[in-house]
Amino acid sequence: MTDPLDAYGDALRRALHAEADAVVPAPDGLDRIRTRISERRRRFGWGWFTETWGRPAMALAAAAFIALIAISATPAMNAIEGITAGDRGSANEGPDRSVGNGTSVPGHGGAPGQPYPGGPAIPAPTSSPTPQTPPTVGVPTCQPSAAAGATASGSPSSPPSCTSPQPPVSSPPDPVTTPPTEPPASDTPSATSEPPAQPEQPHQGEQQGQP
Amino acid sequence: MTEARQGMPFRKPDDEQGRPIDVTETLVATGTADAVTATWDADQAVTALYSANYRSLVRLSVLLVRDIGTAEEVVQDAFVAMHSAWRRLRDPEKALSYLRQSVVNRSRSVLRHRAVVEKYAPKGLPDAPSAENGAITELERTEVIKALGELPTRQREALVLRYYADLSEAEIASTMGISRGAVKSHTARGMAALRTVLEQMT
Repeated sequence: MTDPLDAYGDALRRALHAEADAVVPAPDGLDRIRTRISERRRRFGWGWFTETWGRPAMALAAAAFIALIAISATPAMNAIEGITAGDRGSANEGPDRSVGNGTSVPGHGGAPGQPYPGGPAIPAPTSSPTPQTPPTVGVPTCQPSAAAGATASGSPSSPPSCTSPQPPVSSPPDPVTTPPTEPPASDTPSATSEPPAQPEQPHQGEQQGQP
Repeated sequence: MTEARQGMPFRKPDDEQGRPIDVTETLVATGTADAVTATWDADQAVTALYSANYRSLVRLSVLLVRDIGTAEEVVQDAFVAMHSAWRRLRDPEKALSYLRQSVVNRSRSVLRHRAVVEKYAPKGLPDAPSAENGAITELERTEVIKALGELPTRQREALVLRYYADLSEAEIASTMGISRGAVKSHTARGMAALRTVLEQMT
């Protein structure tokens, strides 16, 4: 009735249990396990992390922080550079006009698209109203500078931009209209230096043409 | 029936009655056991599982590796691994299954390493301690254990898990990482190999 495999299985079960019952493990097994666990904790714990992975992790964190600052600061730096470039452009408008052709400078100074080659177009509108005032006013030299100083009081670059174009504009009419009214206005050195310059130019041209 | 159940080596940590673990008990856990096990931390789990199952696991490992010292190290390593992996255990109720599988795998690794060592430096196996048992004589038992030790590793594991740990085919398959058909095959082949020795016992 009984399966021979079951009979063999019972015999094998008895043998295995008899063999296993003879085994008595050491009583300090739990202590050994706890010791191994503590060693493992100490080996792979915070100290192990700081010894092995702490510095690379901190280096990565620092690099990520610097990159984040660089990325976030780029627009602000562009804006700051734009403002400073606009200031430079308005400041460079005077030398450009003085160095370039003297007749076209006053007209050009009224509507500058770019204050200098490669300069940004954003600051141009801010500085453009102040030079536009001299041609509208036209004759007097002191009024545009005073008006420009009053309108663009915040920007320090407006006084040089207004003073530099004035002499070429005011110098031709000055000898024609009223010399005595000019000196008390404001620009004494430019007014005094410019009138002798223009009579000299034809004189030099004549001297150069004679030989 | 009660004797067989009392002889079952593997019990749950909170099981005071010594009930055997079968498939139903493994797959379907009671709510109280879930609540108790879920509240354990790793240290408590190690302590509870040690007090309930350490001896049985050592004996299981002894039957596989045939060395008490190595068996104890294997089981202790399994407990340490379970402690470190306690948070990753999705079902803490299956901690005993995890331990059993870890013991079997580590015992297999020990045997593999031992085979390599014995290949270059052969030496005799440690003597098994003698024990009194009224049912069979010491000689017969020694013969059976010797024949069991000569079986291939998979067959020996299947027979030990089946006739010592009293696991079902599904549990053996899960523990050994093989299919149920493979478990049947290994068990049948192992029993066929032990038949001559077992016939003398019966």
